[in-house]
Amino acid sequence: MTWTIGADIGGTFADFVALESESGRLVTLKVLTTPDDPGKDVGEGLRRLAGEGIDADSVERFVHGTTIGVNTIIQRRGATVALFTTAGFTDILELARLRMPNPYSLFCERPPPLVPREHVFGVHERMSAEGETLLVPEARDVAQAVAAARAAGCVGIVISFLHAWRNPAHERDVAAMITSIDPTLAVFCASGVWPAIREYERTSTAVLNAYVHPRIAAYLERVESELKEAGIAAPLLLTTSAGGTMSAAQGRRDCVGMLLSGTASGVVGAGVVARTAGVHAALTLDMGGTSADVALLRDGAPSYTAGIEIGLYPLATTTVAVASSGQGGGSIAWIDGQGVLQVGPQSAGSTPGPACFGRGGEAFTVTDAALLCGILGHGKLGFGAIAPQPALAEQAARPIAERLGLPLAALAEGVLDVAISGMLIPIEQLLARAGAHASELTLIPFGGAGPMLAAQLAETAGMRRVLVPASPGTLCALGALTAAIRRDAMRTVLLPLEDESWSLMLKTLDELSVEAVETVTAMAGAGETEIRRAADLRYRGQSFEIAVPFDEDTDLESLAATFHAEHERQFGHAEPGAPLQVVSLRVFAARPAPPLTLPRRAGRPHAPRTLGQTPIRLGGQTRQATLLSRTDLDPGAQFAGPAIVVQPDCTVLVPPGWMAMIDELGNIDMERP
Amino acid sequence: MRTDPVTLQVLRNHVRAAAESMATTLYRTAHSTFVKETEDFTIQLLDAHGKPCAVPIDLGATWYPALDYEAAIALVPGGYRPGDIAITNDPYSGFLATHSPDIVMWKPVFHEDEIIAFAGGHIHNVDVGGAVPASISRTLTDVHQEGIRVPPAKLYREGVLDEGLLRVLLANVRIPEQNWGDLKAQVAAVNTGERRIQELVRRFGVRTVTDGLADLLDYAEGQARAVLASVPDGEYRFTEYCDEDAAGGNPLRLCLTLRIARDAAELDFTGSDPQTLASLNVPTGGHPRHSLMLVGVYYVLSALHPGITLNYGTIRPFTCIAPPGSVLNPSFPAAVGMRSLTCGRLRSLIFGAFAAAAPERLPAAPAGATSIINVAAEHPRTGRRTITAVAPIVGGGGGMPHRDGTDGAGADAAYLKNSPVEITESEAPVRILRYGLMPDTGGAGVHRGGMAQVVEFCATAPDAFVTARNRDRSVFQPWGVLGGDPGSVGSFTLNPGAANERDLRNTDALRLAPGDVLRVISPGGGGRGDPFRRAPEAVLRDVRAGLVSTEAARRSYGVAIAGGAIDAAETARLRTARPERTGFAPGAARTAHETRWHAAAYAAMHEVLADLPPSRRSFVKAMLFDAVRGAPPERDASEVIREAFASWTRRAAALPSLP
Repeated sequence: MTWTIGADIGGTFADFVALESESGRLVTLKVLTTPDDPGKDVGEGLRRLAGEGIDADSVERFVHGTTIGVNTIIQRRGATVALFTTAGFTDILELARLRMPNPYSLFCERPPPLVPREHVFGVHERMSAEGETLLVPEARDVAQAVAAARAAGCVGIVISFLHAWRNPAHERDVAAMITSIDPTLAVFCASGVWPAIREYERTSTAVLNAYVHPRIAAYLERVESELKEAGIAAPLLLTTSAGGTMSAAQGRRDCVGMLLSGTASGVVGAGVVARTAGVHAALTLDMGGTSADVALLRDGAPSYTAGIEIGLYPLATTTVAVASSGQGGGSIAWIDGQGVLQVGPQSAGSTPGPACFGRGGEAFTVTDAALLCGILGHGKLGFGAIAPQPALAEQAARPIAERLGLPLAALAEGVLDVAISGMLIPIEQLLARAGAHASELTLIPFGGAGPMLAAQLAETAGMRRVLVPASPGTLCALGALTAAIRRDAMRTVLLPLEDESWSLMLKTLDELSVEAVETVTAMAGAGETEIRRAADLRYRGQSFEIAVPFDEDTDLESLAATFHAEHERQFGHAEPGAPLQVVSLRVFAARPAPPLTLPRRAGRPHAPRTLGQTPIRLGGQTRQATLLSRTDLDPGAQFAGPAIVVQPDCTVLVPPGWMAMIDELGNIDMERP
Repeated sequence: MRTDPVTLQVLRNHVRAAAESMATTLYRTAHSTFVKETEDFTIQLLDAHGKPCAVPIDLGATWYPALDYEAAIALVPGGYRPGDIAITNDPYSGFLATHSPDIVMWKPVFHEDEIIAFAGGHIHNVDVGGAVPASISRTLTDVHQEGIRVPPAKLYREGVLDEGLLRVLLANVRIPEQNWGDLKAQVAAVNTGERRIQELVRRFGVRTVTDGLADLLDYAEGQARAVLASVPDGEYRFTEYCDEDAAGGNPLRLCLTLRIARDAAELDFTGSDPQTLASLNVPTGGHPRHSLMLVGVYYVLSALHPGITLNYGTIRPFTCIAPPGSVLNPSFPAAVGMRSLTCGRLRSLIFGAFAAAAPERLPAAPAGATSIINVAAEHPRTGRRTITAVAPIVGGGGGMPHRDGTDGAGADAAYLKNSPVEITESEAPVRILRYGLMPDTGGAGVHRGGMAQVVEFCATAPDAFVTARNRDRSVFQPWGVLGGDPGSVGSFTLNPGAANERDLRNTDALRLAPGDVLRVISPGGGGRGDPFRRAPEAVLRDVRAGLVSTEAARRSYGVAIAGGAIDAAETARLRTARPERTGFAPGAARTAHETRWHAAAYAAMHEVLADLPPSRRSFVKAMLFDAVRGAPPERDASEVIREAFASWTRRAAALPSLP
């Protein structure tokens, strides 16, 4: 018996999934998060797993996802750090890339930099764009800056010099000088965190890393001691923003690598579901209390992006590509100045939560609307934690309904319609960016509120199929279990794609491979490491790059041909013959997780046992829907909408006109013929 | 409203999603890096009359959410059939395109035999031919020099490309494959728009969709009227000046009388200067609601009502009066390529009038001039000739009611993005020596103006050629309000601090000698409120951050700082020694100019110009400025102007008779 455990800490719940690899036995559970004492929730979950009969000695792998890094940034509770830049460029964080959110308003603003101007110090040094030293940094200059930084109470220093993507020598020299002055300072070279061209994004990434570092380091220690206390000897692995995992030791340095860990592992978990169910193209929908995240999957693999923002601070590392909208289960309904119904972006979150939770929330939310429509209310919510109270939802709805002159049920349905149409905006943007068409996609919903609205969203967006995973509430933890130990290495080279560059490209790829494999081996021990290589290419003068795979047989012509074809596919045109530029080279090294076999059970087509009929409000009328319990649904069960399926972690709505079937894996597979 | 308050919001989300989808499609498929780097393009979903109902928020430029297509749509000969797509870039046909590089495209959306909507948008093309590469330069004097002009015409008839029109167009431009690539991206976008509207009709029914589009205009109108109703009724006058009306020219004056009556506003630009002989004219055709005239209004409304909907309904409560022959309503064939410089001033003109109407709710002037610096040179490493943009160089925002102006960015320049130093240096023979904020440049105030930007650079190749577009505010400062100081002027300097230092003022092109260093400093934002009322701790914070010097803290803020701390006693002494300051602060240059060129002088000039044909006014204005400059300072300018004009008229009449 060997168990692997995935643990994902979300906003309200900490989710745990444990899988026994031989029997395929799956144990899932939730405990409330403890934001005031981070790590305590992990200990609690481990104790409950032990109670389920999981022996600490048989735990071979423990994978953890956490939002502590993102929370540190959003709440601005990070470390006081200094930034050393090339002299003449100390305003790099102040100027950013100039463009600001909400550019139509004279009052537009962005959050102040994480390092204030008085903690930024210019060092007299300079590297040329070709990586040649123009001015050598001097020890005296550095010593002065270190003294000033220490006097200002800084506990860490980020060094970010111009053109260190090409030649990091000055950054390394200055790091050594700082350490020799004060070895207690945490020192980060921006070129060491992520050596990509574009000084602002690289500096911002390194600053984020240093800013969250002390809290993450302390947290990881706490989780390791919880594991020790539980008697688990398996090393702590962390899920990464790129949908992989890394060791705790790596995570202590590479803090930015885990900023999006929960979001990314949810998409990876949905990818497992898509792959095992044979779904080629999918849109994932992760809808919780305050927002909805959508991502595209092709053959179970997410798409990646280099360049997202965390609280408007750029993060240049590779992450799973996700688009967000402000519609969640807690989004609040209101009437604007023109008497028109609005939903969100204000959210009641999990505290005080929707009115029907009875925890003091007075605002009418999406969850309250679903309750009044009859979609919710057939059992407790959130693993039995909450019994929703319709009277409280009605009370919250009444003032809005009266002002609009609508019956309560019509208002409730209107709130759901407005929320769903609002989610369309990021979805259309995501699809247009990828050149994808909704009609080809299967929607895979998860999170507490996703399965409740998924089919209606699919109809609105023009999708015909919805696949609700067996356990939508713990998909992030499932994703964590299956993610590979992974290291991405990248270097910007900015070379013309021509014969003279070829040997340097190969040499660089070899160096990156060695570096990435060494890192993976250090995390995972000896063994077979998978390597994939890619070159980021563009037409000379373009500002967008396309990552083109680079395997053993790739030569200059085939690399160019693949680029032109991919450019044609993504952008609708190509210019064969136009000069190409290699911006960066990348190596992805991965040690796959032990293969995960989700238990399959074949079942003959049959009509499932129902709990009876229940009235629901849909399409402007009240109809009778079949009420079913997920635990009664065996593979092969078939039923038609309107139907409602209740389960401990969510509620699934099958609208009229949809046919649902339980597949071999226990997913609810719905189609609109 | 025709639509219920739930369905309207659902439709609003759908059309916004459609507009965002169109914009993303255009952005993804566009050919020129210009579109991708500067996002100089727009998208509109229009009703059957060609009025924009929805625009994207996340992508594109901020100027055309209410661009009226109606006149241009009607100018296409032969009516419309399904599958038709029309274009125009002629600034004088229907006043849709506002300079020749902007190619505007639209496609009718049919339901059965009836047009129910249009999908439209524009891209600023890198070049459309004409006298200079990129087609625009301040020195051009008439629109024929600014490239090929296509009056409204069909590029596609029932889905079939008009190869003849395309060939004529592409034969007249410098980089035809880029124009054609960008046109195809626009076609993809309008096709997306058409498809999405037709999907909405299938889902909701044609009546719900057309009613919904009409209600979206009413909705935005209602929001705008509510904002106007919250501003006191009255007549508010404001004046602004561009430094020059042509290279080395005279100030270019813009005037606005803003009349607010309940929930409507009239913007009367009477008194603004005549059209110029440079390409600074703003072609509006005297449309009472031209989008380009009202860009400043979008900013004011968005500040007073965060997240306000912007479409044609937004501007229905506004009526503009722009006298024919003025710089804001030039007569054909005045050049218009560089109208963006004048538009910057037009925005701050509107900000100023609204700040007079609602001083407690609006900010001081933003820096208001964005230099676009390009370096053309042969790269010594690659041998290729490159043209590379350095920065753009934007200044700070004005002091706001609730906080300081943003440093080095923000306000009405917040849609611009810079180029990374590392990319610039990798691709062009340019070395950037300094790029940052310039201390002591934001106007002092309770809430100070945002600091200016400074860029210093040199070329690493010989014979580099530098162009500097949109240079302004080197003479007239961004104004302060309610006792705040004006922001500092910008500057353009060759070899700063060296023996051969030279002040380049608003020069817009020069060739660099080896070793030459150029420094560009933007203007700073204006301050708001008496700076002697600013919290001393806030002043100390700026001093610690290096944004305000100890001397400026003392001089401008009355805060004495010694040993890194506030000297409370000395601060109290400084602050009580000076009476409280209130009111408008235009800056010394403007005060000096208006002392000589007072209201009566301008009235005298406009009186004599009124009888001249528009094409001659700029010439006569220059002559009158020369006359006033040459007259003894004690003489009243109005008299000088009347005499000079009379003398000129006599001389013009006394041309020698033909033999």
